[in-house]
Amino acid sequence: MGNSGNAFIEMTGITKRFPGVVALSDVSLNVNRGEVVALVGENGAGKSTLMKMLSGLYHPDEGEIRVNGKPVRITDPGCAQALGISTIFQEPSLAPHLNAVQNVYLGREVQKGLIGKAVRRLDEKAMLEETQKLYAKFFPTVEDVLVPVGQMGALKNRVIEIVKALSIKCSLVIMDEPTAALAEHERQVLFDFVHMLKSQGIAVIYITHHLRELFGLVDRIVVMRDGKNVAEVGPEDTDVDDLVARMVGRTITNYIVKEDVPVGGEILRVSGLNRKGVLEDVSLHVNRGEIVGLAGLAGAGRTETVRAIVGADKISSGTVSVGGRECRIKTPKDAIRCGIGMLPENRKLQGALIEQDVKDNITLANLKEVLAGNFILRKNKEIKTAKEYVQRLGVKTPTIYQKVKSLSGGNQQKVILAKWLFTKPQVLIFDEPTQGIDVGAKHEIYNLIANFVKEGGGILLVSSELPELLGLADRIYVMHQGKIVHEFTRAEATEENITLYASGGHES
Amino acid sequence: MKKQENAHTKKFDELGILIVMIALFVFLAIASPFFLKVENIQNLLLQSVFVMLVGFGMTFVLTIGGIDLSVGSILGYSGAVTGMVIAAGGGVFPAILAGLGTGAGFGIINGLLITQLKIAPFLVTFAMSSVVRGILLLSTTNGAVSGFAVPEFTYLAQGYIAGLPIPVFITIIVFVILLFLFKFTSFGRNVTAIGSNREVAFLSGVSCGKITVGVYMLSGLLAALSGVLLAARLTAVQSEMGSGYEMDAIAAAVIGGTSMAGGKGSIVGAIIGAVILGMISNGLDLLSVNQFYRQIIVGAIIIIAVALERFTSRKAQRV
Repeated sequence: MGNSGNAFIEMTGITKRFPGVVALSDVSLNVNRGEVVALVGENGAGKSTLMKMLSGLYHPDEGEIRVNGKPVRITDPGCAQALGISTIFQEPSLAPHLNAVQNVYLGREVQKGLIGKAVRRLDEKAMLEETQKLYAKFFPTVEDVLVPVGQMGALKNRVIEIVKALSIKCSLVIMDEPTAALAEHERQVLFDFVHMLKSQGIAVIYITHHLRELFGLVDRIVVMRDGKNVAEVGPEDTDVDDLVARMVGRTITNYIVKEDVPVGGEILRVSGLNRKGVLEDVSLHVNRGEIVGLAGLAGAGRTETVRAIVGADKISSGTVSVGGRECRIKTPKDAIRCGIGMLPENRKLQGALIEQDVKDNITLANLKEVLAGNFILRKNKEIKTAKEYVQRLGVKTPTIYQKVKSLSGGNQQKVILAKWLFTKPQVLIFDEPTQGIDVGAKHEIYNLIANFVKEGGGILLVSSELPELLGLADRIYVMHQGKIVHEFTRAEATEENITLYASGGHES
Repeated sequence: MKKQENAHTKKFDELGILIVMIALFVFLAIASPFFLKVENIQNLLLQSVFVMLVGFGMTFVLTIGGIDLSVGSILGYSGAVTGMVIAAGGGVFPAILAGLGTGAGFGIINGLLITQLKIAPFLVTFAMSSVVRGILLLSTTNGAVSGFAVPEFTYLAQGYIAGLPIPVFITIIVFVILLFLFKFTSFGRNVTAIGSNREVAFLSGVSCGKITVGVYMLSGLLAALSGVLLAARLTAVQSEMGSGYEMDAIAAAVIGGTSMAGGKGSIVGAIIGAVILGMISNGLDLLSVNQFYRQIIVGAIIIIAVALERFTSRKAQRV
């Protein structure tokens, strides 16, 4: 197969492990010269990890990468460039104050001799001409190559990144969600570029959540799930529904046991949250004894919604009520006072003070409970509290004086949960509570969630893991592009129909 | 197991710098016959406390993840305000309050600019340093502020309580209060939390803005206290009084184990740091070495202390 002469990239048997997780397991991917290959899968399926191996950011633990038939080690991004592999990341990676020419040649500026060869200066003319030549392929007018790119729109930025990729004389362009910030007509322009690349014999790996884009654009679709290849199909042999089924089609492990908890009165109501360009009229409610899921793709606005609820981000309009009473929430402090706690998605950066000990973390959000007067810490009470919660939640730590960073992910999450339970909340919001946590600890977190609702609390659960949402939630809201597009009851919800709504598929 | 390792590294942090101080002490005691004389030790302590007071404030500021470059200017101007009020016949006690209020006031302005306008602490306090120094220069256009050396005021610097110079005595009291504030109050806990990770503290309901303003106010207040005592000692306030104190205060805090990155501070460490700085000056005097070497040595010590801190915290991260 490697001798077909046409294969540019051959990745075989790629395995990558991170502490506690196997991110990729025996994955293979071939890309031929001038071929456009789509790589699709859910969040966490391993697409980005696989691509980072090609751009030199990660290295495989096992497996082989061949470029032009020769085995290679892609040690860093410079090495990837030298091999003719160029990546256009999801987040624009241009320097906003520099113009197109400066960006295209950033770090590899063309120079020419000024006095002999010793003193050299930038060859502005050569760089400008080359940029204009490449740029002219995309736009008939080229006057704005000298304008700082920060003043241009998203489409032109994408184009400049493509021009940059081309100027490196690459043979493969990896595009990660290239249409993310683009309007519909701009997407069409981008698709034309992809065709142009193909006609010049340049291969493209195209990653997207917008499955409908693929038809008419790509030659082959590779589906990944849970760090493995699951399917490889031609666009003519499939459709969106089929792809979704393949993406989510894992055997649903039945380790979540849903207990029957009587559902009581409304505990949290969120009405008409708006934040310009981020959230649009988001309304939802949670009842006592209920676990409510919030599903959606990365960037759909789930995290933004929960941050808005607790006052972590400013909103332009909207109200939050707890137990039927409207709360004026401007900061997370207000949310805590109203009985809302939020466990953020990033444990280490937002959840816990990892440099501080378990005890200080547990009491942080409700320090006033362990104060004598307004000011003075009652160390004994603090220690007693910390020990009590460590025991109640089963935090595995030698003592309460252990720094949180030395605990495992699951135990860090339990410490964060202990902090919030100590604030005696009525509503707990979890944002990706089990990301990167091993199965055993996940199970314990699920039990703690179940206990909280049994005691009459309400839970709003944001998760990208659909089995988790389907297993735990009584109802599920689905978000797409900053809006809640659907509400499923537990009985109605399936991985397929959630994914369909989450990717905007219902609109077609 | 892990717990023991951590306890071990923690102990080592403070122990290490204590050993440096003792080693320096022993070295100077051997190198100079005058070092151990009572007057010299008193003098050494007296020299150290002015930086120490400012260093206490700096410890809070660095622990919350900020920096205060305006303390030197605030020290100078607060001393001048006290002197001017006394010279104008305002009385010693109101004059001291006016000086302390001036320092606290500039500290509050620093804090508000940092929290409300979201300007980096480095820039705000750097600019404030220039502004306050400018005000002091204007106040001294007709020569140094003087004529305030009434006995009730100079007694503050020249008197003794329990065998200790009064500034040393005051510093000990301030130390006890600040140690309590740092370790045993919600304020101190929140300062550490904010410096450790502001986002986590904010999401956990900590009033980051108020605490930050409080810390800069405290820093200004302590600089002012140092300035008032220094004015009492020098009996005249020159336009350059206090310049360079911000560097010494940062050095004292950092040598004492306070992290420039925030989240970790030691009030006891600031004492050790300030005493080490004092011993370097004192030692250079006793050994008749040019005082200009002090600046070089202090700069080198800051770099070494920060490098050591980075090294040990990186090592700790691997656990």
